[in-house]
Amino acid sequence: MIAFENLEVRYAAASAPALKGLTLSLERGIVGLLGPNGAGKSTLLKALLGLLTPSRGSGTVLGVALGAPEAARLRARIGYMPEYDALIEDASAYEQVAFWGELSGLAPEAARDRAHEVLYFVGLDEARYRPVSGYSTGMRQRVKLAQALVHSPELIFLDEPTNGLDPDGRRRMLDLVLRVHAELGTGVILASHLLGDVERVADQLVILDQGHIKAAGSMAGLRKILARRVELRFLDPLDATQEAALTELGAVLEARNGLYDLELTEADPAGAFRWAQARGATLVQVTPRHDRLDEVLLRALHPATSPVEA
Amino acid sequence: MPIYAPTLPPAPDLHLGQPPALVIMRFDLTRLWRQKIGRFFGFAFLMMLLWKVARIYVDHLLQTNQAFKPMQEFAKTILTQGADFQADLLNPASYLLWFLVALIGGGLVARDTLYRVRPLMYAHPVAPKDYLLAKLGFASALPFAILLPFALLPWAMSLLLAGLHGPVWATAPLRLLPAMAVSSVLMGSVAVGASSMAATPRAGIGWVLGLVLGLGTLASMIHTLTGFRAVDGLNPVMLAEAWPQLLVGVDHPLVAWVPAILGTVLHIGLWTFVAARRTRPSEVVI
Amino acid sequence: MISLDRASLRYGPILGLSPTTFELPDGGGITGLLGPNGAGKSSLLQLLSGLLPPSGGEVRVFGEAPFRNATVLARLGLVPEGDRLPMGLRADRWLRMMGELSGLLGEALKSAVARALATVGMADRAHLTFARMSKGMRQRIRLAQALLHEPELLILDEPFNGLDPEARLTLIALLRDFAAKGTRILVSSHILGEIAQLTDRILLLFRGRLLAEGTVTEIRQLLDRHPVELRLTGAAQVLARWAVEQPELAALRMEEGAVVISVRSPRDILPRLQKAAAEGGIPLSALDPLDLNLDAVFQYLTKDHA
Repeated sequence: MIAFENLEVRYAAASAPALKGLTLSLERGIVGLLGPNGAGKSTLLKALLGLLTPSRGSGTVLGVALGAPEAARLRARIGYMPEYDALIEDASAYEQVAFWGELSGLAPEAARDRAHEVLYFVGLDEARYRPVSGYSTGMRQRVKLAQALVHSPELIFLDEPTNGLDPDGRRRMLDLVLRVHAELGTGVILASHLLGDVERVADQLVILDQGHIKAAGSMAGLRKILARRVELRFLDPLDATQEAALTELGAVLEARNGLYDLELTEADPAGAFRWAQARGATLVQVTPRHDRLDEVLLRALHPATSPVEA
Repeated sequence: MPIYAPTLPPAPDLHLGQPPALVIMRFDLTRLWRQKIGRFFGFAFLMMLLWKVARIYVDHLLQTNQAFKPMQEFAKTILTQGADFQADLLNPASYLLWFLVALIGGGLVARDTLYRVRPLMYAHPVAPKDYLLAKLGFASALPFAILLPFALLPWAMSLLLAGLHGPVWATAPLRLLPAMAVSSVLMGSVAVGASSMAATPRAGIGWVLGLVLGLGTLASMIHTLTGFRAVDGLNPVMLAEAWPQLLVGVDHPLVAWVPAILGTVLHIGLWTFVAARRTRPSEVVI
Repeated sequence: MISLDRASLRYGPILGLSPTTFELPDGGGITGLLGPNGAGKSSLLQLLSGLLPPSGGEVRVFGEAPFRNATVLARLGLVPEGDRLPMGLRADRWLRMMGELSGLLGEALKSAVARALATVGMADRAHLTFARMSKGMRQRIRLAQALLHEPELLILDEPFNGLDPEARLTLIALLRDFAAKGTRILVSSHILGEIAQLTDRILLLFRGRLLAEGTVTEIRQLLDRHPVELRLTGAAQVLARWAVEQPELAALRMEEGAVVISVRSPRDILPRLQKAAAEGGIPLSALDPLDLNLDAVFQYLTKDHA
């Protein structure tokens, strides 16, 4: 889907590069893009849209080399859902989605048909004919998603799609993101500040900071299973003697909110069941411990403490 | 008997669309339709048009009906004649039309600024010049379309009633249409330039009215104080009215040829430049 | 420490909070205040922090009504929602001003500001104006403001909004730290993941009413309409054969190298499962309760009452 080789991008010839030597290869999937504000996420987007020409190195997006004349056409093949409210308040959802479709190069009739189709896809049924100024936050976010999908792009860039949504709205938006990839085969780049969102939907991860890639790769590759580490939870809280006796099982690295993070002395996690049986506790969770996304992120942003391999 | 999956059908062709500028102009037109500010203006302009057409008919009656013979001389003194009459056909190009242009044109760019639509537009295959072209085109086409019946209906009526000897010259449209085009582009560029400086549509209306009336007042003040007539070339209202006069060749146009050309070029150039600067993609968000 | 007795809040005709009764005991720890948009989270926090009097009923914080009550307000700290600050002002000067409003003066004020800044890790950057700070830095200054008078109860309304991931993690670590030192903390958020990282004790509001209060595990066990889903990892065939013989089984689903069972009363089946695994009767390498988390509890509760 995307391949960068030492890609460097500047806004003006004299200015400092905004993206510094990016080498990256992403398969078509759902890519989580993490990084502090000002890390270079919007510059990356502009490079993807073919709006910026690389000053050094090379990049290929959807099979088109950046800087080539055809790169201008990339914008018709990519959908963009901005973070801010880019809605035309006095127009209905249907009208504006059709309008954006036409701007991407659809014929007027085709744009109207597609507008209806994508609005059904995102779950806006009757409301589509009303001006969007009366919409709830969840509906507005869905109009923005429909707008990004109307021309059936091969890749969509979603910037904070769950902003301002409550848990239910957030779950539904993330389900939609999963469906966009699973049912339409569209590649997705999801920029988010919420690690939970990225963890839920992404299969690849890019961590960007100050124009550099700090970590990139598949989710499974970056979030390794930690050997001999397990997380335990019990049906009832442990009493003091039981808690103290946990050391028989291994070293307790962290205990919080009833969840114990242990490094086992023996490799077999089934030993936990024997221990609980002997100590009169009832286990409700015994799971191998993965790297958590927040640990991956902190290690990537502060490599001085412990380096992460890309 | 197949079962069709309830997902989106295959991708439609992306190369059959209309040029972006045309798409944006069409969208602005449907938007204008919805705003329903046409009723008052429609009525006002219709009344004016009826008055112009009625005058042609009255003139025709005076010329042909012997009963009105005594009134003919009197009529000549109160009705404008010759070149002045031709130029007068377009006189709605005064405050009412400016007001309409301000009301509609003032929101054209400002509304997109308020809703933050422009960055998203530039993420589509839309170049800044497409956008500018669409807005300028729309703001200029609007006054042109309103003036069109004023130039053509009295002319057709006069041809029909009195042939080549009617009160409207047979060649009048050849002179009036270019004059209308210049005035309309002038109005459009002032409106778009002012609108691009505003943050909300309402402020946009204020900007257009403020610019037009302010420049007009300033120019006429300088004119009165110094007696320097050419300074009226800075007054957009006078410029828009002067072009029909210049092209039909009246004896005493509001603004002479040289200041009119200079002033018009200055206004169109300046406001187009301002609009282009204010609507170009920013570095922060696309 | 906090108690509400049929306390309600209306803004003119608009409902903020329906008459609500509950009590939060003394002692440290973090309580997460959850609910969809418009559920009444901000209304409850406004009542507790004494910004508004209840329209009906009684609110008590430290045993007294908090509205316009200086003795209560002196013991609680509030970080309100939003990011509105005088942008041109230096953070340390703003803090000093806020400290003066709390009645601190001279040396006491100076040391309070220095201590609060050190706690939030902003001592070296407090001379910057707010305009030159990132959102995360501003949020930490706002937190320092609430800590100036060393409150026993800290109330935060949507403190994570708009922060980038690292700033979120820093704030979570800070709050955990305070809780460990004995400060009682009440945090509202509509992002479940953040609350789950902070605490497992929640107050769940829905449509202006209190739906649940307690730890996630406790609340989940009360939701006995919903069978608990357990993923058993190991030799799936053998595990499935064991599972179908259990009377509590409601449903069973096979996965690659695992079997997911839905059981009605986990209290009965879990000890038996544990015994079988301990004695080597079944090859169980991992046990994962799929809906024993905040997300599932939230979803069940709000769906059941919708």
